[in-house]
Amino acid sequence: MRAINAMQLALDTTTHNIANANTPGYSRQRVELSASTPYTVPSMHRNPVPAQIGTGVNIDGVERIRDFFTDRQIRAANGQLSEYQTAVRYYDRIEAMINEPSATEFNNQLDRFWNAWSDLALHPTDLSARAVVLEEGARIADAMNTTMSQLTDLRVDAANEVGFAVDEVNDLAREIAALNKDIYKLVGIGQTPNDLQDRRDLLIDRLSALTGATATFNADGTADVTLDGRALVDGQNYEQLATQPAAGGNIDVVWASDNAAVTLPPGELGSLQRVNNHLIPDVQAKFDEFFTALVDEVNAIHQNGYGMSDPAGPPPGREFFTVTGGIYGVNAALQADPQLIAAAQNAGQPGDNTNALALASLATAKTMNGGTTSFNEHYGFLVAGIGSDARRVDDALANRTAYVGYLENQRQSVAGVSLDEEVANLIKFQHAYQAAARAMTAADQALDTIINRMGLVGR
Amino acid sequence: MRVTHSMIFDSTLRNIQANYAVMQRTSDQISTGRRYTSASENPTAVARIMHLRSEEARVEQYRRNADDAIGWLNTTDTALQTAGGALQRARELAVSAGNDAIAAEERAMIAEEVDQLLMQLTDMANWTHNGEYIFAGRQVDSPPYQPGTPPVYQGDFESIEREINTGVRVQINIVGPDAFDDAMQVLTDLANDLRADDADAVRSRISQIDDAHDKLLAANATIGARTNRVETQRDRLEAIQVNLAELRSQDEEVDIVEAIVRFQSQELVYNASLQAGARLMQQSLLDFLR
Repeated sequence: MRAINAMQLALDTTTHNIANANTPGYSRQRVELSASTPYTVPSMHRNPVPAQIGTGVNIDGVERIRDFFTDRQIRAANGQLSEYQTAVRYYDRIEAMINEPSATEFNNQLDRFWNAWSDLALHPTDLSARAVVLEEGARIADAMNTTMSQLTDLRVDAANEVGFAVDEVNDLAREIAALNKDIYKLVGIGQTPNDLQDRRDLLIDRLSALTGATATFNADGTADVTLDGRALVDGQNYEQLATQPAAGGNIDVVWASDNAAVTLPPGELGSLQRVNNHLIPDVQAKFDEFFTALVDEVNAIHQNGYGMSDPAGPPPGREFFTVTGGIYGVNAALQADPQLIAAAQNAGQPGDNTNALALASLATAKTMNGGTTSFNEHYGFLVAGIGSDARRVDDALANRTAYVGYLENQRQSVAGVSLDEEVANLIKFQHAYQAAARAMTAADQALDTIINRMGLVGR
Repeated sequence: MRVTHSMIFDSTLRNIQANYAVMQRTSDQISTGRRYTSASENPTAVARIMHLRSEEARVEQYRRNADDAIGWLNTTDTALQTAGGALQRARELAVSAGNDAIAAEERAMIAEEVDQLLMQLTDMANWTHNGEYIFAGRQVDSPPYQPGTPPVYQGDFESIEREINTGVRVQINIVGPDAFDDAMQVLTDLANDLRADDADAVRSRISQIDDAHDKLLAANATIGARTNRVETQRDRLEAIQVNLAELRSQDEEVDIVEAIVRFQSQELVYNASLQAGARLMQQSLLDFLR
């Protein structure tokens, strides 16, 4: 009967394994069997037969098979993997926004803008050449506005994602603490709550990817999760995180209970925070510096020149680009009257193209980086700089992905369900079950012989 | 190592996806003809491509500037030559009218022709290129000479320049007085002398006409020299343009033949990984149990 029970349980466990072969985080289970304590045939004198008599099989428990060392490695690597995944996601979007090299993007628009000034220098009295300058100028202003507003949008996305990630961390902490409670109760009465532990391991995996938090396991079955040196989950208790707006659009992640700041290790949440607080503001600052220099330089030269009908005297000092509330535009006065575009450096000389020439030569003038690079060169460096940062993160992600893939393989190798193995086990246990049942039939038949067929004593 | 089914599924899927991604990348390159779609693929090359693109745009502009300069200079040259022809005709008239045998009425008729020549000279001095008066200094929007005896210059003495390379500017204009004032003066004087029937005075004008003609020729020589300079520069710009385009295509454009061969070998690997995966994933102990 014990054998039948044991084999029944083994079969159940095998089908459980098969059923969960594709369940994320599931580790295969095995019924631990041992031979039960044999007994020695009692005798007044020592039994001449040198043997103990077996009493059958014991079910020691249902164990889950898992490599806890690999678990720890995966959790440590997961945080870095998510850190880079998140950063790559944002770099991809920034690169898509820049979209260089291209025959139509900002670098090219800048070239066309300089060339429009050069064309105006050919025909300073030609109103259509003036119209082209205005058109190309408006295109530049649009492009600058688009870039800045896309970066702003990107930062809003990152900020939102920080909030979502904090919510998810809080949910996970709460769930892990709840599982701790259940597991604690079951372990206390000597149970092995395998499936609950699997579920908790899965949540801890996710939490480690999100925050880079580390987990320790206690003898009472509970797990503690530590983030930035402080307990996020402590047995059945847990803490919550919160976000706080900081200066300059930055976001602080804090402990909800006392508003102490959390320094986030590599992980999705930390990465999102760094994207919001550093990556995007840095890119914004680079573009802002570039656009401001461009606008200032163009305006400085333009303000020094004269329109077609300006009187002699000091230059009228009209801006070419305007900046109102951070929005770039072309001076409306020029658009209303293109004759006001300052192609000349002298009043009363309609054929004077010297200011247009001066503006056209900004194409090559070393105006940026302390007079070492031109605007176009600077923009090229800016794009290449972002590109090489993106590439560094791409490479790091590729490394981490390969490493975590290797570890996942390790884990699957130990904990994963092999259907072949389970099918073989199924047959093995089925045979054992049949044999045990047959043993019972044999015993039954033996008793039948003794009881029913051996004479009619006393009847 | 113990190998489980999910490991096989995962790694097969991962490999197939990786192979597919590589193929897709190559297919992108072939269909766009471009080697890079983002700076991170090769930051240095992308910066170089952008720089070369700007250089090309600039060289194109300098060529346009040079072409415009050549057009302006050629127009100037034509105007000066026509003016020179008028002076030459005036000289012939002065020589024949200086003959004492010529009657006063004939001199008066010749004076009429000299008037016409003066008008022709004034027309040349008021010549335009693309609607701009080329001899007016920077007063390009109004004719520099109003008819008169002699016509009076009303332009200024400023230069007009074209940028034909970075930092290289060429003056393209000649102001009217440098070419025409002496000629106009001498034709006015000649007409007056003819009407006054003063043969001696008419003869003395011949050398003045020669001087004025020399001045025109000198102006024309200046224009010729500038034309040469701009044309040389333009030829150089054309060569540079070809070089730049070639350099950029080396960095930017995909070698289509190489890319197609690469695509085919990637396709081979992809198909192989699909086939291997399909075979491996179908294997199960269950197939052999009954």
